[in-house]
Amino acid sequence: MAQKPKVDPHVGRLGYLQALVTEFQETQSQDAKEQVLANLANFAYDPSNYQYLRQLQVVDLFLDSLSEENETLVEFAIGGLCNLCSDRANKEHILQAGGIPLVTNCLSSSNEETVLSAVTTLMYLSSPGPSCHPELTAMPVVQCMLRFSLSANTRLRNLAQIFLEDVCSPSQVAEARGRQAHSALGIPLPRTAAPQQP
Amino acid sequence: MASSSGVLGGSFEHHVQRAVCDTRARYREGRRPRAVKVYTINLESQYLLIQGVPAVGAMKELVERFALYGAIEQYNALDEYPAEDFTEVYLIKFVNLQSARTAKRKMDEQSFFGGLLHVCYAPEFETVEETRKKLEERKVYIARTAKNKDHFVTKKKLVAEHKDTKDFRQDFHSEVSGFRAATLNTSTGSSDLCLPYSYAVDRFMPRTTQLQERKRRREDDRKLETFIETSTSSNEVMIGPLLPDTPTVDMHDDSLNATASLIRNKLKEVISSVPKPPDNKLEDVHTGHPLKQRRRI
Repeated sequence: MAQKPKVDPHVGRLGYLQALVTEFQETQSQDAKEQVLANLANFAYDPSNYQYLRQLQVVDLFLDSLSEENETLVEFAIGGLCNLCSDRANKEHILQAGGIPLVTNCLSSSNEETVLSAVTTLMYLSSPGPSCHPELTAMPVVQCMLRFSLSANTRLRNLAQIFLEDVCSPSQVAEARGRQAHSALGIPLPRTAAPQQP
Repeated sequence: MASSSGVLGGSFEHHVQRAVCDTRARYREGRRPRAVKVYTINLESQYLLIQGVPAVGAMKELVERFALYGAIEQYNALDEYPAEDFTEVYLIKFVNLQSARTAKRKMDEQSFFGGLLHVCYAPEFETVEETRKKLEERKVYIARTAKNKDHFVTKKKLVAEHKDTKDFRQDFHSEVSGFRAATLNTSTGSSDLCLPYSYAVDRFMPRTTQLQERKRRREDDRKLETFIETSTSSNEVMIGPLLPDTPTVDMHDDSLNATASLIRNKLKEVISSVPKPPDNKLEDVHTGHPLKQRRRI
């Protein structure tokens, strides 16, 4: 199933990560891709790996994987981004690479973990004060968060509430609330809420 | 795939123990078989759910066992949570997320009163404020660690090159152990800590050791810093164990102080003459400084 590349055990952390990246790019097996991506996403939890991950362009690998059809790969990729995006250098890279729309797309996933990671990633990508990235608080995003804040899913509800309170301005929230009453929203909740009435 | 309901005790996907992955390539098989799962800050929590606790009235013992890993703020049985026959489910809230992390790692799949515990995070029990605090702490931790790491990282490359000489150094030790012992008897404690950083980020260390470890790393860091600044071609190559600086003691007598600094300088000379290329070095030592057992007076 999975490849067995020859890896010198003495080659250290960078070499190991390199082997993972190589396997991800070369393997035909979906299982192996999932395993390796999960592995990389977990490594992204630890700041001591960040310089290696940047060197191996793993941040771009995560961003690219957000467009995969395999839902599991998307879940793991956004998880990896969530893990490393609050680091300043990683954050810059993601913003410059046009990561925001890729992440906001994940808000419409039916996978609970994907949505949670996406909300958290957006929060970490935002900065206090007037934003250079207004897409973070674009109307559809704020409206989406408003809906999430009413969700039966506690984790989602909590995160959405924090997003609305800490990332959005009160006027943005008020405006979104006003519009929400009248518009047909296209962003479905992950499968926890009852279907919307048009 | 998302399946949580608002009802307490409803099935939560993230509580379900996943099957262990058995198709991993050899090079990336870990020490313990693990499921394919990604841990994010959202999944982790100061709240731990413990399933599979045998219903034998052992709550006190359970809490005591978990309390080994950190202060517990509160705990209670979850009577409505679905449980297998004859088992109970408990919720334990740690004061710190780090304690919860360690406790989970250590206690998951451990046997307890004849049963096997399944320990997982229970972030859905968090209040908004607790979640906010959790996210904020993570951000602060990364900012702090990244700042220190930037410091390390530029030196890592240089030190990594010296990793290969580790074997040589061990041989060298045995060859000249007598001579070295005479002059470097303060170093035995630190001889294992040859690299100023460690890859073992998940290693559980008791708190005091963590503080010492950080202190040591900061010191090593400073030493490496001076090395970087002073040497491109100098022989101040730090291969050997990083020795503690010999404390400069004022003995309130000029001649004594002079003697002391002479000895100190001689020591420094000896130490810095260590990292010449392997073959030459051994020869030099043998011919230049014949191996004498130091006479103990």
